[in-house]
Amino acid sequence: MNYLTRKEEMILLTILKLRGQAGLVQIRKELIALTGEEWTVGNVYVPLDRMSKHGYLSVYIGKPTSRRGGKAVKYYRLTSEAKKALAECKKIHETVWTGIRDTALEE
Amino acid sequence: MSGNFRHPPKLANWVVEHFLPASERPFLNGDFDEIYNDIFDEKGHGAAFRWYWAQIARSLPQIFFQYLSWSVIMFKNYLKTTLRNLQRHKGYSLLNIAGLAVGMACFVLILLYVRYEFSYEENNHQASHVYHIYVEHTKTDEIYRVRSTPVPLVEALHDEVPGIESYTRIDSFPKTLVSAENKKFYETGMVCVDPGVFDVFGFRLLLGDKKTALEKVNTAVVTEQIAEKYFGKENPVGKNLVLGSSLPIMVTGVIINHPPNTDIDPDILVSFKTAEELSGEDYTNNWLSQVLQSYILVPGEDSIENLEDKIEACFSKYRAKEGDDRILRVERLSRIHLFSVFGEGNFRTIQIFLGVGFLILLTACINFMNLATARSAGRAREVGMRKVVGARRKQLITQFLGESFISAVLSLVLALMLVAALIPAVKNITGQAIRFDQIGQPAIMLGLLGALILTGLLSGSYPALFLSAFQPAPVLRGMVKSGKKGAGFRKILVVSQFCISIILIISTFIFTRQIHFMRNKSLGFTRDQIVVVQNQGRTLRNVEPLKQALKENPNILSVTSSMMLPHRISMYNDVTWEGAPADENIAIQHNTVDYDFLETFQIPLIAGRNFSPDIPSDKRGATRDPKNAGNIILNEEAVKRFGWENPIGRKVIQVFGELRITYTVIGVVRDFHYSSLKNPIGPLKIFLNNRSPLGYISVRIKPQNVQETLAFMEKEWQQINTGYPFEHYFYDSVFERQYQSEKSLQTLFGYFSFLAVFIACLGLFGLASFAAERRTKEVGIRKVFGASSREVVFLLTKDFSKWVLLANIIAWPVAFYAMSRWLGGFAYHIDILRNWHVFFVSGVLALVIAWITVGYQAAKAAVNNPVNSLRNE
Repeated sequence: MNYLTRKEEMILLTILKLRGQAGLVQIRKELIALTGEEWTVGNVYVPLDRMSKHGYLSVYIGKPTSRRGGKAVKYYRLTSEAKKALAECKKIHETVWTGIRDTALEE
Repeated sequence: MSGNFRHPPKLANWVVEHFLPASERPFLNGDFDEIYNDIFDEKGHGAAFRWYWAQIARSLPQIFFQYLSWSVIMFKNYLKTTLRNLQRHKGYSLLNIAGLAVGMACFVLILLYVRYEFSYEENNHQASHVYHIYVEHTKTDEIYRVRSTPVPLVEALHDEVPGIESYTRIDSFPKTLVSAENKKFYETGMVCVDPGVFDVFGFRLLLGDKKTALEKVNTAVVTEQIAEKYFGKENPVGKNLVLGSSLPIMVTGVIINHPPNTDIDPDILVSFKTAEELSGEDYTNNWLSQVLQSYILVPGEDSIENLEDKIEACFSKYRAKEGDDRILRVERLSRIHLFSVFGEGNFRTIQIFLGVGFLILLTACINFMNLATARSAGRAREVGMRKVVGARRKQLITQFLGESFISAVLSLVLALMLVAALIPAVKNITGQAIRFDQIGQPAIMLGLLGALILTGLLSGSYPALFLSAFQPAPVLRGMVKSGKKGAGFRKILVVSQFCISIILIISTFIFTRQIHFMRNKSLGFTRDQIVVVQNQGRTLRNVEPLKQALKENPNILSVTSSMMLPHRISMYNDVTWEGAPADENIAIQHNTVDYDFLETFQIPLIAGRNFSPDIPSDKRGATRDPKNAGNIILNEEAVKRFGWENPIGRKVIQVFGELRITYTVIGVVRDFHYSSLKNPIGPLKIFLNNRSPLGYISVRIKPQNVQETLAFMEKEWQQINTGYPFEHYFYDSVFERQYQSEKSLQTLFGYFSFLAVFIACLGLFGLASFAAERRTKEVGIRKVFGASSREVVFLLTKDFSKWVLLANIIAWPVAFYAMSRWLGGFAYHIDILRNWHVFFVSGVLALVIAWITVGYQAAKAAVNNPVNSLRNE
């Protein structure tokens, strides 16, 4: 089992939250809102591409819109594998954080 | 939020359009557009503009590298499967890659050879603006081209025709004795040239000034090599070289040595003024005779026709009023080597070589295809599995092509190693200075890349298309029988391989026979036991005393001096003859000889008499009267051409413009081959000059006591030509060197056919082993039922024999046609029909080689105990 990176985890979760309306533009907007930082197109695209090639994401092609200059949009959806990986991820997080009090991190 | 669509900045958009990977382009481009519009609405044009450009700097590289790293991963996967496949079938891979490597090595060598031939005069960066002027005679039986031009021509052109930036004449000296201090050698590369030689040929001066170096009389520029030969490490400028016995020439400059790939490589360049001073007015202003080569540099003119028109406009003023049919033509210096009648290279040969190179590469590719399809049964299951798992056809095609490309690359690496090892041998055969590092040249690299792609595509195409088309279900149920599919195609491939091999074998045999024929054909004169010395020193003025002295020795049978030796007579002029139609004149060859020429070379007279010392009027120019200028001897062909029944006493008139000089025929000799056997024997006339025909002194000696005779000759030579080394050679050695290019063609074809056969056999061996393997059970069952080993061997070789026989039937007419064309280039050649056995022998040879190849596998299968082959069911 490969562990997901933090970035991948964030992106997968974002796609999950967007419920089927997850194109690169929407994902990027969510991520910016979530982190408050700038995400370049490449920052988003590269993990998306990698995860689709690893079989975590399935892709379907949406309708072209005028706002996109008449170009089609690619929507991403999680595969069952990705969901399994996320669940694993969550479990690991919980296991790893168990027993660490918030005060332990204070300087 | 939703405004109209705003188009992002044009240039930035163009970059995005062109640098995104094709598969992702529309989506990502759309994403860019959408975000651009969002920002535009929110923060205005400036922010959106800045964002878009920033993305190009930040996102594009990321996306691009993602794409690239993915391709590398894919490639690594292909490489892994391919190498695994190669390893699993070691023998098969070896056959494949070895075959391809040998084919490619052959191709690369041919490429190097061809590139070298095309590289002539490349060191002269002006070569395409330098033109060589030659003379064409139009009124003769066929167009007759002459390399030399009148002496004053280029000077006049330079004065009168605009655009000629520079010019030079090249007048070659005959072999001359050159001495300096205590060194003394005969030099053959000595010429007289104009100062323009440096610009025209781009000779670079190491010492001396190109403007003044060849300005004065009796000065010369030499190559580094010559400078070192005569003056060692000392500075040669200002020192003297002595020509002959008494003419001092001062060295005024040194040029760098000539590269090997040039046909213009004089060693000692003497100022043209020297030639003018030595030869006088008759030489300098003679528009009628043609003695030297002319080259002009015309940077501003690209049309040959325009240039010829301009030259004609000038030359027409100097042409003789009557009977002068000369037309001046030009050709580019860069084209002389390969495309000119005067070039030493031969474009035809290059075409033949390139063709053969392709054929051999093709045979190697065929091997690959053959073995791959033959093995298809084994891989059919792999293909079926891949398909079931979800591989698309396109991916399978990519995989198979990938495999063949990787094999091609491996073979190329091997091939290059082979080439490195073989270069010295090829150098020996062709005499070319090819080097391994020339592979780095763009043209060669391009050729290699082309060969790689061709090989990869060609050898991978059939397996890729054929294997990838398997339907998974029948394959996996075992319904596709081993290698049944594609068997017909394989047959065609094997047949064509053997066709190529047989054609090459036949060609080699025919070359060999033709060369043998040319070497041994009686030329109409004797070439054995004749010692030749180039005339030098005092005998140039009068050869009689030496001749008399030599004749004293009983071992010396005959001595003659002649302008040219009988195998190569190349002087000509225009003549007309008694009874010729008005205005008709033709260019015919001539030689100037003494009384003993016919006797020494044993050329038989068939009518009339030989020149005689008792008849003074035999001599050319015996009287000053042009109406009766002496007697001549003709050959049969001349008599035939003139249409005379009884030639003795008839008149032949030499035409020099308006000047006509009449000679009387006193004898006719049997035709002899005075030039290469490529040319038919033409008309010939022979003049007498017993005192100084210049040229050569030929001595026919007895086969006994050769060493003593030579020593005697040297002694007598030294008495008269004191200080001139006695350099002699045997006449028959000249003929060893004749037809050198045909000889190297034959040698190379020998190797080519060997390679083609070798490659074809590799393939056949693979196929045979495959067939034997496939039929293991059949053979087992046959043996159980009582078939003998011999019957089994016959069974297994029968198919292959049929293919080779079929290949013969196709190859014979092709070879017949090609060889007839080649032999057509020789006026005297073997009769191809009378050599039918060559075809037969080549066919049988191919068959026997095929049998040996297949026989091993067949025998192995035949002696196998049937228990072993049947047990595993």
